[in-house]
This record gives sequence, structure tokens and C-alpha cells, in this order.
Amino acid sequence: MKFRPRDAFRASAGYQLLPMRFRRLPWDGDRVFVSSMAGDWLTMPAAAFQAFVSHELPDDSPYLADLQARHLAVVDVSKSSLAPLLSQYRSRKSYLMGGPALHIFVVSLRCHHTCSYCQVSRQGVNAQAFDLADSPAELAVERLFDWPSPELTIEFQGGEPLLNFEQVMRITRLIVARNQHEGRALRFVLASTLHDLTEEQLDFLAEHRFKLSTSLDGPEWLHNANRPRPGRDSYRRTIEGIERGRRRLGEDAVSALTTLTKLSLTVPEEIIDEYRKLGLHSISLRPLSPYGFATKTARRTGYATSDYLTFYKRAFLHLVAVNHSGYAMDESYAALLLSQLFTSFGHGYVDLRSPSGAGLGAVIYDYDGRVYPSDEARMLAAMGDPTWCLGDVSQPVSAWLESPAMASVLRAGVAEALPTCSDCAYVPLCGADPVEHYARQRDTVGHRPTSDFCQRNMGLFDFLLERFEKGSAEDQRLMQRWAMRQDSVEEAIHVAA
Amino acid sequence: MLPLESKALIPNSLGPRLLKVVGLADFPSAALPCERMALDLRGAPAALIGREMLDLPWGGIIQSPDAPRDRERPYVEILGDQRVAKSGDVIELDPFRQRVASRYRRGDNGNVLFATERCNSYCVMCSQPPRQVQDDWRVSQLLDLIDLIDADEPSLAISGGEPTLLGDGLLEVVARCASVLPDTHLHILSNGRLLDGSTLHSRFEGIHPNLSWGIPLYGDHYGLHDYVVQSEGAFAQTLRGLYALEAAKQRIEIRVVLVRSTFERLPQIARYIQRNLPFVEHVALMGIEPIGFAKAHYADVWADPADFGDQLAAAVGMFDSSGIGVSLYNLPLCTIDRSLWPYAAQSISTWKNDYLPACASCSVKSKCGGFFSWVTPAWTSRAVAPVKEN
Amino acid sequence: MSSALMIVGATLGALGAEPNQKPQDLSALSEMDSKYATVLSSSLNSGRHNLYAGHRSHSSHRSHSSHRSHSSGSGSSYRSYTPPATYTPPAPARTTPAPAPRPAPIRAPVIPTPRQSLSAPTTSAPTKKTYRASERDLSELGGQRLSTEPVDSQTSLGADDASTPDASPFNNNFWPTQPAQPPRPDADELRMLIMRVQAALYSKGLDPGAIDGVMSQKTQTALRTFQRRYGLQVTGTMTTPTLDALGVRL
Repeated sequence: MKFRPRDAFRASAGYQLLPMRFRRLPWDGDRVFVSSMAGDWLTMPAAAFQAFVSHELPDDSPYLADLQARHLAVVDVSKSSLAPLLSQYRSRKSYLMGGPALHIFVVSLRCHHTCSYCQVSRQGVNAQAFDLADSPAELAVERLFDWPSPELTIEFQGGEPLLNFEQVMRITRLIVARNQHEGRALRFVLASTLHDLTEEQLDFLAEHRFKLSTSLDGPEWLHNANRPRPGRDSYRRTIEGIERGRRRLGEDAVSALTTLTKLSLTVPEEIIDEYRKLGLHSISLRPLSPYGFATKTARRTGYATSDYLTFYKRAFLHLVAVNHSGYAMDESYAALLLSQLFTSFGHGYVDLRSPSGAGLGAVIYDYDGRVYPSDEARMLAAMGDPTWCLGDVSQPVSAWLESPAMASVLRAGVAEALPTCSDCAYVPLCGADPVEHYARQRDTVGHRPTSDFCQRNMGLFDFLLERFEKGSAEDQRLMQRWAMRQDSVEEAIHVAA
Repeated sequence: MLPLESKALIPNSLGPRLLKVVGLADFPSAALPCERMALDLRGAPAALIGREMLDLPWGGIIQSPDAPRDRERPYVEILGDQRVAKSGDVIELDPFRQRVASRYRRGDNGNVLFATERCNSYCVMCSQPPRQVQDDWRVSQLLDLIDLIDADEPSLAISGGEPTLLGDGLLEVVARCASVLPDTHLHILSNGRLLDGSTLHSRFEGIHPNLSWGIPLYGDHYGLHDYVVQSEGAFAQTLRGLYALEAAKQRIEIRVVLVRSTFERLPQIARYIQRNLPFVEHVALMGIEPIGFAKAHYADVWADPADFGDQLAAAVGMFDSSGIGVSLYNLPLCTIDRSLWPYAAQSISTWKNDYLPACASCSVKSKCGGFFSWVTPAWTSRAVAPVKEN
Repeated sequence: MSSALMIVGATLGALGAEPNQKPQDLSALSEMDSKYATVLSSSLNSGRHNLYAGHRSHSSHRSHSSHRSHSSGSGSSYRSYTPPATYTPPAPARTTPAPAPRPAPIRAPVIPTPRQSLSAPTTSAPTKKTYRASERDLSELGGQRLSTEPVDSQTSLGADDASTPDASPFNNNFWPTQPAQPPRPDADELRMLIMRVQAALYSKGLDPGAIDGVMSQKTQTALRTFQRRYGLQVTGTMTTPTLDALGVRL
């Protein structure tokens, strides 16, 4: 066998393009971000990209190596394999294979708080008519096991689920008992203010290894301003709940997230410092959503997406500085977007999926036995619009899947097929949200140029990408670490937008 | 460096055979039939060994040079380096060529079940240049050999050439290891190309309790990989082989020999592995072994690790942050940055492992993998120098 | 998968006409490769192995032990003539008063002739004899006297305490009255065992005389020295603990 030099293995018949999309970098008009069908990507000079798509790149062009490696071009079909590209694609969409993994049980609408931005349509503390009763609860458990997913995350929320803790316990026990035969992997989450946790409640939560999720909007003054309750001491009670939860269930068992009001947007650094003070290593900076009471008070507490993005950028920079100073903390939505950018794995966040996570990734069982594809859909019904109700727990799951609501989700739930999304370079990494677009724009397909969902996600993708490209090696390593953190993404599962 | 074989005096009446060398200290616990053992009497006083002992039906008796030669008994005398065989080793007697060859060394960390000399690649730095020969007979010899290997041997490699060229024979060998040496980790070195388009991979699922595959990858696009292995289509075939092995739930290690073109592209290769092959358990970044084809292609392949520190650091960092194990093989500690020392393994097989004179005063010599016995100045990094620690 | 490719491919728009290439090549490739596509996950999640036990592990020489695992015997099986060599002394529970604190006799397996006296009282232990399984059925061991040298009564190869429940060390009628004889022990097997012992003693720096499979005076002396050194009961015979300590395989 005669040894052949490198050029002998170089093709000389040009190359073929694979499906791709591109975006001019907002911060550098001379460069473009190019993404493959499966979300692999590179950035390159716009002129070179132009030459590339025009088949003008010479055979020895240094770009061809990277372009092939990202599955943007094929130089010689007989020497190439599409298995990696197809595997990446299959992995990103892999959540489809199991059916919905997140199942939310609204055990009560009762709540202590009267938060102005509440999207929950709360009821008074004693309004037990708004509790989930035994019969629908049992039926919901049966429906739960009709779904095929081998992993089930069961999240209890409300109102305040602690106000109907009996039902939480009952449902948990029913599920655990039934699971003896089913053998699914179960995870239990409680989304709660954690106020007035009793020892018995903690015992139960510890026994079933619950994860706790609570709202902590920031320093005391901010938190209490955002979340008023009789006694005006929400912050103190929340802190106490967090401490006790961590002590009984473990340091990592309690996660906190913020809800950002107009007031919150003025103090990004203080919010992050508050989380650091409490020894939390993950923060979720979620913006207000247009549901429930939030809509009614939008003028007072609401803000434009652009304001949110401004806030977010400040917060992010501060967070990076905190990390570099030696304290590890990530922001969960950034971690999700970064995992989309830097890995090919599927993720668990139902709100950024295509096909949409509504109904396909999550199911909500309301206190009255009605069922919804997402929390937002439930809120719309609470506000008087039942368009998105899939049915109720007395029906078989097949009925829900055949409902008009589900059809609406599916019709407008594939981002790759939506106008503007279909050409967006971020689409393999992004998602579709027909319910949000319906709520905000009265149209499930939505109008992208005026879509808050788009502006928000695209704004964040652009921002993170720019930070990465311009960042120091240390910054880049930090962002990659966030991207690879599996648990941070899982944490995000129960965060409904 | 230990010898692979030696001239020997072997009675012509003996047929070629594989024998377990058994010294007097091992004889008490030896479990094999005498016919498969070679009693090692080198160093034993002649008066010590009774006739009854000598009369046992040994497959061979290794005697000292001065010992009496006796036609009736299967005496073997090693004429060359006596270290070719010691108790616990397995040797092959070749009466035709009057040679004794080592086939297994107890205590060596690099014992190989040599599957075939044939290969379907022609890697530019191949340390075992292939030959097109009909050597299917090796399968039964390997089955023979496996029976003679210590049950507590921690690990074995199956290598060649390209072991999958044995087809079903490879499965037989693996199955025999599973049954005779269930506690021994088995590592198959293969380019995976033949697993593309066949069902062979699926037959490996579950047949061995501790099996892994070492598959080489030299580029993130075919132009680079195919060049290094000197075969068109190899890249695509190896990729499919990797996915096939993954589907058969095999444990996979990627091996990257650091020839210059590959070294230059190492961070991109790391990215490629992380994005497309994240299921691999481990990546070994390996210094070139200066033997075989590598020597002929020195100008094309030699890359001084000291010149590629950035690439190494970037690649290691990428694997680390994505949870893929990574090790540096065959790279002496003085040639890599101190921050990478935790990843360096003492990887060179004992029998071909040596140090340079410069190493005598090195304070980390005991932790360093050293060099291949056949290293020459041309293949020595400019950074080689004893490390001085406080 | 390939239809997904079509959908997405359709959105490519007019990015440039594809010259010369036959699009169906790519489609064919994607069709073929779709069967190799897999859902990617990290190896840590696959649960196969969290620690990589590489081929290149640094191994040091391990002690070589190839004892067969003990298995308790068909204690009452007639076939297990229970050569004493395999006898595992139980926790001391002597039911017959032993004049001397001697262990139950563990002798090289041999078929005793009635005239050979059993040198030591055995306890009821024989009935609890456990037969250590081995490839070579030691019920075949034994045989004629092995050596012409005077044999210490301690090591006389006595009838052993058979496996039959009513066997008593003092029952000299044991052998002739048994309805079925056990197969004659193979002299070769016994020689082999002694040679192993002798080789082991030599390797430990003692002098067993010649390695010849014969239980000589020198071999016994070496055995006793070994036993003393290793804190074993000093019998000069091939007791099971001695064989274990020597690393002798049965």
C-alpha cells in the first residue's frame, strides 16, 4: 500500500448543502450565525458564508472542515454519514417518545397571599369549595398512569398546596401504591410558599423525597412588596420555610425562583445578592406572564419585554462576577438556553419545545377535575376562556388527545412550520407556544415581529451568544459548565412561564 | 524492555504448543493438567527434583543451561534472554523454528490477545503493520491461550490488525473469556468499520460481563480521518460502527493518536465527540508509538507535545466539562503542562517501557509513564527534562 | 427521519441552486443512516459503568490462589470416602474424651488395611466431616503404603473415619464389612499431592528432601517446621490448614 498524502483525500467536486438557517449577528454585521437542522452551529464571516451557499468555496477552503463537522455541508456523499446529524435531531426531540413526563396537580386555589401579579386566580384561605376533592383526585391518579412515560414528575401546586395537604398526601400515597405495579421512576415536587410548614408535613415530604420549589422575589423589602399577605411578613416566613425544608430534605432539595415585577427590574444585583446570602446556587429570573391577575394589573406591575431583557443583561453580568469571585450560582433559563447551544441532548423544560410542550410534555389536573395542556391554558379558563380545556378526569386520555384543544396545540405547536420561526436560525433550539400567543395576540400561530415570546427568547439567545463570543476563556468555561449541568435543567422543569 | 521471543533448544518430537510456565512456587496451586504446563526448573538444584516429579506428563520442562539433557523428557532450554518466560507466563514452543515466544506475561499491564495480522485500514502511524495472510488459525490458538491465563488477570486487550475481521471467531474468543476469565476486563481495539452494515455488533450485547471497545477517531471530517487511516470511507464506516455499538449497549472508548494533523485539530475533534458521540465513556489522547509505519512517516506524523499544549488543554477541558473521561497516554509528564498531570496515565506496556538517562534525577519519575523502549532522539520532545520538585 | 429532513429541507428556500449533485444521493444516505441514528445521552446516564476500568490499568502481581471453594460434603455419602485430607475440623466439640489434645487425624488419603492402627482418637468430628469438592475426587486417593520408611504413627495412614455415620475410628471392621467398596485411590493423585507440598515447602525456603511424591522423613520435618512457623498445629502431616497455608491445591 503506497502512502498517500493529505490532498489525495480531498475531494475536488465541490460540496452539497445540508438544511441550514442563518442569522446576521446583531452585534457584528459582518458575521453570521449558521445552524444545522439539528441545532449544531458555527459563526463565520458573512462574505464567506455567501460564498459557501453559492458553491464558491474552493475545495481547499479551511471553512469546509468546520462546515462538515457541523453537518452544514457534505463534500462526498460516499464518504460521509448522516448518522450523527440524525442522532442529534432525534436526541433534541427525544422527549416525544415517552409522552408527558410533567403532571401538575392543582390541589387548591386557596392562598394566603394577594400577589398583584398572581396568575393563579386565587381564592381566600377558607374557600374549601376550591379544593381538589377525593373523587377527581383518584380519577386523576388513574389518568396519570394511562400515560406511557417511564419517568413521571408529579408537581403539587395551587393556590397554596399546603392548605390542602391532606390531598397532597392522599394523592402521593395512591401514586406510590399504584406504582408498585407500574414501576415508573417517580419524582415529587411541591410548589409552595413554604409558610407554616409543620413537622408532620416535613416528615411526609422527607419520606417521599420531595423537592420543594418556592418563590423568593429578592430582598425582604422587595419580596414583601411583591407578595402581600396578612402580617406583611411573607419574606420572613419564606426564609424560615426554606431553612426548614433544607434542613429536613437536604441542601439541594429546595429551589427558589423569582417573579419579576416592574419594581424588581430596578434591582437585579440585589436580587442575586439575596440568593447568594441564603446559600442558594441557582436562581430563576422569570418574567411576568400575561395570565391571571397579572393581566389585570399589567399597567401597574407589567413591563415591556425589552425592559426585561435590559434587566436580564445586568443581572447576568452580575451573576458572572459572583461566580468568578468564587461563589457558584447559575440562572436556570440561561442554563437551559446554553444547554441548547452547547449540547445535543434533549431537555426537560416544557416551555421551550417544538413540538410544543403543552399537552405533549405536561398535563395539568385542575382542582375541579378539568384537564389542561399547560398552566397557562388553565389560567385562561379561570379568566373565563375555556378554549384550551382538554376535558376532565372522568374521560379517557384518548378523548383529551382528540379534543379540539389538543388539535389547536398541534396545529400551531411545531415551530419549524410556523411563519418566521421556520426560517429562524434558532428554531432548532427554541420552541413554540400556541397558548401564550393566543393569550397575548389572540392567535395561536402568532405574529413573530410583535411576539413577546420571540423577542424574549431571541433576545436571550443573542445575548448569550454574544457574551460567549466576546467572553474571556473563564467566561466561556463558566457558560459551558452551566450548559452541561443536568440538574439545573431538571430544576427548570417545574417552572411554568 | 522484555524480549518477545528467544532462540531455544526444543526436541523435534514435541509439537508446537502453548504452555503455562510453572515454577516450583506455583506448582503447588497449579490447576492445569501437566500436559499444558511447562515446569520451570531454572535455578533449582538438580538433586532437588525427584524422578517422579520429572516423570509427570509435562508439556515441557524448562531447564537451566547446565542441566542434563534427556531425550525421553520434554526438556526445553532457552538460549537467549531468560526473561522471555517466567512462572505464570504462557509461552509458545515452536520446535520448527527452535524458538520460544511469550504469549502472556503475568503482571504485565498490557497483555494482548493477538487476533489477526490483517487489517482493513493502513494507519499512517500503525505500530503493527498489517499483512494479508490467512490467519484464522489464530482463533483456536487464542481459545487455547485463554485457558492458560491467570483467572485474576485484571485486564486483557484483543488487538491486531483488525479483530472484527475474525467475524464469528471474535465472538468465540469473547465468549470464552466470559466463561473462563469472567473477572477480567476485556478491551477490544477495533476501527469499527466492519460493524457498519452487519449485525455483528448486536451479537456482542450481554455476552461478556466486563467488555469495552477502543475505537480510534482522528478527525471531525472525513478528509482528515481517512487520510490518517489511509482508507476512503473509513470515517463514515467508523461512525456507523460507533452508533451500532452504542445500540448494542457496548462500552466505548475513543482513542486519538496524536499525529500532527490530528493534534492540530484536537479541540475541534473534542467538540465533535462531545456533540455527536457523548455516550462514549472515555477518550484516550495518545502519544505516537515510534515503531512500524510511524517510523517511515516520521515527517508527516511527528508532533512534539510541547508545541501543542493549548490544544491538549482545550480538548481536556471540553471533555471534563461534559462528563466524558479523558486520559493522556504515552506522554511523559515533563512534556505536558502540570495542570494536565492528573490526566496522565502510566500507559505503556511494562515489557516495552523504559526511561531515558535524563530521568534518573527526575523527582516524578515514579508517577510518569516514561517512554517506549524504541524511542529515539527524533521522537523525543524538546521538553524532556527531569522535573525538580521541592 | 428522512421525511423530517424533507420538511426542514423545504424551508431552505432559494439559497442557491444545487449544481451537478444528485439530490437523491443525500436522501438515500439519510434513508440508510437513519437506522444508525440514536438518542444521544451521556455515558454517565447509561448506567453501564461509571468508572472506566481501562486496559492500561497498572497491575501488580497478585498472589496466586486457585483453591476450589469449599463445599460441604456429602458428609454421609458413601462415595465420599472422605479422605481425611479434606476434613475440616469443626469447632472443638469433642464427644469422646481425647487423651491428648490432638486434632482429628488428617492423613493422606489411603485405604487402610485393617491391621493399621489408627493412631489417634477421633472425635465425633468425622461424622461432621466436610468434603471439600475438588476436580479430582479424592475418594480415589489413597492406596498402598507410600513409603518404606518408618512411618510415624501419627501419620499412619489410617482408615479413615469414614463417612458412614456409625463409623468409628476404632472399628477395624470398617472396610471388609462394607457392602460396596469405594474405588481404589489413585496412587498418582497422592503422589501429586505430596509433590505439590514438597514444592511449596521448598519455595518457602525449607528442605523437603527431593520432590518425588514420597512422604519422607525430610518432608515431614519440613512440614513440622512450616507448621510451627505459621502457627498451625504441628503434626508433620498434610492437614487441611497446612495445605491452605502452603497454597496447595487439592
